[in-house]
Amino acid sequence: MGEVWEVADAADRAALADALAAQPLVARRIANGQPPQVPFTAMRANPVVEELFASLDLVGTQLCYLAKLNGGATLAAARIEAPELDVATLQRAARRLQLSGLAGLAGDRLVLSDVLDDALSLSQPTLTGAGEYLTSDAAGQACAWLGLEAPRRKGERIAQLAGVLGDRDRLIATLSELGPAATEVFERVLAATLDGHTHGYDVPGSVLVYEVLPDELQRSRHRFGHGYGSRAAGVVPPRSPLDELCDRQLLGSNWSRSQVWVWAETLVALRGRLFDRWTPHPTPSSVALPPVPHPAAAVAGAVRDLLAHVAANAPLGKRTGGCEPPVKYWRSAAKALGLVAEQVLLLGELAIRIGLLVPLTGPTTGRGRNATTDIRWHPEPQRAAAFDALPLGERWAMIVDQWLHDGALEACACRVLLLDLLCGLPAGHGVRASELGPWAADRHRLLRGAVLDDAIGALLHLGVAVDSGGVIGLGESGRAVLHDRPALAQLLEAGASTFVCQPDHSVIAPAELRPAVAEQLRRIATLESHGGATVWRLDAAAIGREALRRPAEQLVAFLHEHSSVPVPASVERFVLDSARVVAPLTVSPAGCVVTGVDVVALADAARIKAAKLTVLAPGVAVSPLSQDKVTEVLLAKGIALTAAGRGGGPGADTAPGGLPAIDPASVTPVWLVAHRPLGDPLPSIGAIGAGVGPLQHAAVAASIAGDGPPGGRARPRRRPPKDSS
Amino acid sequence: MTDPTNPLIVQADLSVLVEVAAPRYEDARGHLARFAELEKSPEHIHTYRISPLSLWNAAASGLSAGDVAAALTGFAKYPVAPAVLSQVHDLMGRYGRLRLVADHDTAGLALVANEVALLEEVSRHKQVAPLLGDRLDGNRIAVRRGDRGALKQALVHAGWPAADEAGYEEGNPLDHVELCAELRSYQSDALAAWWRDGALEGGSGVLVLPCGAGKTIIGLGALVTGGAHTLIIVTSVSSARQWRRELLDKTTLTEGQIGEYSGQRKDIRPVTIATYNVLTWDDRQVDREADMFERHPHLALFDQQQWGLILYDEVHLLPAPVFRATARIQAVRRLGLTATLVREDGKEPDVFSLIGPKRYEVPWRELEGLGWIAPAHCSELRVRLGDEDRLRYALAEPSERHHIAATAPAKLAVLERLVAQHRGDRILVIGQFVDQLERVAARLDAPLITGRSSQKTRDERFEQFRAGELPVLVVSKIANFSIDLPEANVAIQVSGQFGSRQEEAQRLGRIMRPKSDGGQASFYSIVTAETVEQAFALNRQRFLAEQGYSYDIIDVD
Repeated sequence: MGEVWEVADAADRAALADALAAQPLVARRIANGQPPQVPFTAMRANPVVEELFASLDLVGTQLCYLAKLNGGATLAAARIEAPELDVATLQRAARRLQLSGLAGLAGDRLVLSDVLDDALSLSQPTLTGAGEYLTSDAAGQACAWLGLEAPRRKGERIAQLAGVLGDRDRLIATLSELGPAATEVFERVLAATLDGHTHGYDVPGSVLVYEVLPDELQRSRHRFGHGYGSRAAGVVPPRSPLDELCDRQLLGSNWSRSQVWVWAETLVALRGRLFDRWTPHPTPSSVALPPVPHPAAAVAGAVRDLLAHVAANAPLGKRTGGCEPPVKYWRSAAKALGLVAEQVLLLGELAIRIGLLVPLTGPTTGRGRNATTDIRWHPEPQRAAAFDALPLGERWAMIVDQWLHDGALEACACRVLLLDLLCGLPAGHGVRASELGPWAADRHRLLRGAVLDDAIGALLHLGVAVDSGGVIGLGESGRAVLHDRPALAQLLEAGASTFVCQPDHSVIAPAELRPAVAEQLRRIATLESHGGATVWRLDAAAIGREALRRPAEQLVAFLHEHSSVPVPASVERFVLDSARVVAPLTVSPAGCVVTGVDVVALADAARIKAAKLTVLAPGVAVSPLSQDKVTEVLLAKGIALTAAGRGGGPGADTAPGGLPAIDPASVTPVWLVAHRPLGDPLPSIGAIGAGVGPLQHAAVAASIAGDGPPGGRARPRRRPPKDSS
Repeated sequence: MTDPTNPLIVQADLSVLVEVAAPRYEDARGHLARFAELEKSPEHIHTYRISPLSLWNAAASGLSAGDVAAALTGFAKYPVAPAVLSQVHDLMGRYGRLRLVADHDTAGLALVANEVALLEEVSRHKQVAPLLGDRLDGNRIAVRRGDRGALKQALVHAGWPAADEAGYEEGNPLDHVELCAELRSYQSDALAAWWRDGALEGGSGVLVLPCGAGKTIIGLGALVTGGAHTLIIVTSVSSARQWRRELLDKTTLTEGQIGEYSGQRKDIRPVTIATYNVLTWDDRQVDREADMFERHPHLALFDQQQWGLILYDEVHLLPAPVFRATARIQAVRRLGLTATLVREDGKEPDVFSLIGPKRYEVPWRELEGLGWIAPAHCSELRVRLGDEDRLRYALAEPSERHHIAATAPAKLAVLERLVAQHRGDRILVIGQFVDQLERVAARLDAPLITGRSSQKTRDERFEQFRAGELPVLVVSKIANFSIDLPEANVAIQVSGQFGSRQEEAQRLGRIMRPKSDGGQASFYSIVTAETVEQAFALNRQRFLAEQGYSYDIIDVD
């Protein structure tokens, strides 16, 4: 095999397939019928860098940096840089770069495309690209210090410097000529650079002098100034160790020498090569995942619970940004629902993006610049109902799809790349969490740091991936929801459908309980533990909530249907009782309500069967009969009534409807406060008065006579007992 | 190796489910009981819990993390999560790195560690530091003898349990005492699990056996095995008398060797039976801030003899002062007996750390199956409040509601029908409220025993009931514990102390002594429907439900 890149010939099918496999984002777009490089036209960055470069593996990425450093990389240079790699690996990486348009061949060198060359920056400045940092004089002076004859042109001078400082032997010889103080300064700057204690304020990869210099060296620097400050005429300050280094360009520096840096060429010459490691982490050995409960029910259930929680506790949106509910709200919701806070945060965000939660604007308060408008989030009733009506698998898939395709560009790309990796593992297998990070980072340069952690966390919260004792992988249903929706539907119908219902209200189900059954169980029970099996406990509050959706008998029937042992009678009763206790109130129309301060009088009235009065509380009774009828019956028995809020006193001369006259002295006052069957319009005051008009007249007359409060309620003849309410 | 027919299912939260019907159940249970605590044992699947304390107790008895892992994986139905095994290794690895030993130089104790850093860490722990004395050398810190229990407890809380190698004081010997009764197999097993051939890792602990399973006789066995002066602490004078009867009946002890230390007598003998009440008697004339032993002068009983064994009956009732006194006498062998190690205050771990670990437990249903306790049928009868009472209940303050519900008049009619239905049986009617019980006694024309009844009256009535002269006895909560009425076969509970699980279980326990005719016991709870009593009943029944008892719920119209 010759020592040249073999990328010039036309690509065969295998090479194209290989290049495409290394670029899952592009492959996915092509599979979706989209052109490969359209997507990231948005503002932030170059699509080539965002999509193609971000997907490169370790070798491809480092090859790009090697080409960047040297203005192109020959195969020979690459082999010197990465001796542990075989030629075929390097050739394949170069071929992938060429096919993806990131690099091309110029003579025997692999050079970066212009776009990538512009976008790519090294961690340290290079001497060859140091035009902006280095003057021609400074370069010439450095040549002189190094004992070289300075060429005429700046570029030539810099090239000559780079030749010396990029050559390990000559560099070491130069360093050995330094004094001990200068050597110490150099070592400190080098150590700070290698440890990553660099800043990018002005020059990337520079270190702040005051951070790395020993105190005595800092003092000397301050005492003599930096060469540009005011000083007595004719006084030539002694050269500091830092000057010694910067004059020779062993360190680059800014004009004030407050920042210094090691040139990239120097660094490479000292380290021996650009990168320490070229061999990617091998694919970790996959570990079989134990059976886990199907996640669809748990995730869909969590969304349902969350919507219910938001409906009951509508959160106030933040006053900034997208006005989403604050994180604090989601955390409190998680606590109330017994879920993990991060999961609720994620699901809440997805529910908003799906449109299940919508913001509603409240009234504006304040004026002018102090005007504020509250925004509260509520479930969108129609969408929430439509979502709830979907089959379980579709609900889960909708949530997963939303997560996969919606969000920041970098995050979305990271998700696709991570899923591509995990899908490459054998089905039902995962890798140890400690191995996943390094492996992923070597496969695609985007998969590292917080972006990767977030993606893994979300995969776990959505149930697409499972974490079993530190082994992370895609569950069977996770694979199905990503790639095979028909299989997902089948999976949801598979699995055990029975559990053991015990008298202590615990329900023990196999881990692979059929999701549809698990979802139903989840509606009436809380999860106590999981592992080899899932242990649930029937929950009175949950049963009560579910009983609002369907009859308690159906819940009992569900237990009977799926329990592999007879459902204990006490459990059955528990379900029925819980359903009853939560919603014991029913609304039904009442003919009228009768109230009386005198409970004895009311009790007397209640004894009159024809009035059909039921005493609800001391002084309060209801009758299914109309007001007129009750009035008529009670008057017939010698009990007078007065309308609520209309005043009136005891006694009546005549009863309406031609009833015989009643002696006012024998009349016990009872106030009629309402007469409105449910759904009927409110009766007019006149209508109320029609039934009790004569009594009211009597009350007014009595008040004029001083027997009752004018315009107020009639005073009872008998004092009410002290304890009556 | 995992096998679908295996009985264990290991959960991520360190609970272990055991399928009772699996072929290797018995074998697995034997292994599991050594390092996990039985939490509940319903009909089909039992739940054990592996806790730090249970693992440390296992380590104390010589079990290694490897043994535990082997048992879990060997009997597991599904693969055990590596995190579970690593947690077991981590927790068990902590035991024994600190040791509590007798220090012959100071005649006290010393806390010893090979790792100086660990000793430094615990010596700075907020709870541990006050219990440590001077530094004896790099690896040893002095400990006062009286702080032995408290230090062990504090170290457990700190997560670094100490191996107690300081040994026991043998106490004054009790010569020529023998047991005149034969122990059942499970009783022998329980005794052996506690005694451990007299080794250091034995001699302290708690035995949990159902009511009527013969815990007293195990206590007698411990006394005889220990062969030393013994202090027996019981719940009431009636219980003390029962112990006395049993001691005289089933051992060769004589009257002169047995003393009673109660409100009525203060007689200290080689075997002394004291009540919790007298020990915790509070001298009101002493300043509240004074030393515990000044405020509770009878606690001095613990120091008045060279006891070789202290036996705590119904150890779940251990009151706080006795807890603290027990912390000071860790050099004496200790045995706790209970049927229901359920404390509503959640202090079960304190019982374990001061008295000792749970050494033996048998599920109730298992002994029932073997015929050692009577099979019981539990029923909840629901009555309703009348209209007036319903209204009164609705308007009552929450604090009054329980009383209104518990004393519902409708219960009397139901009670009467039940008593008539069980004519010929021995019936205990148990309740919480004295006014209600007085009405019940009057209605049934049955004698009533409450806390106000004199000891003499109590003894007479119980004796009459045992002799069959009284078919029905109405009792208040004084009969919840330790009253041995083997002939009783029906218990009717008309009211109870809120949602107390242990009260429910103990009341059922009154009728669980095996019947001579092998008959079944009947336990009725009369509960007022749609009131707080129904919710309380649900909680009360939890312990028994976890033991596999199921209630029939009957609506009485």
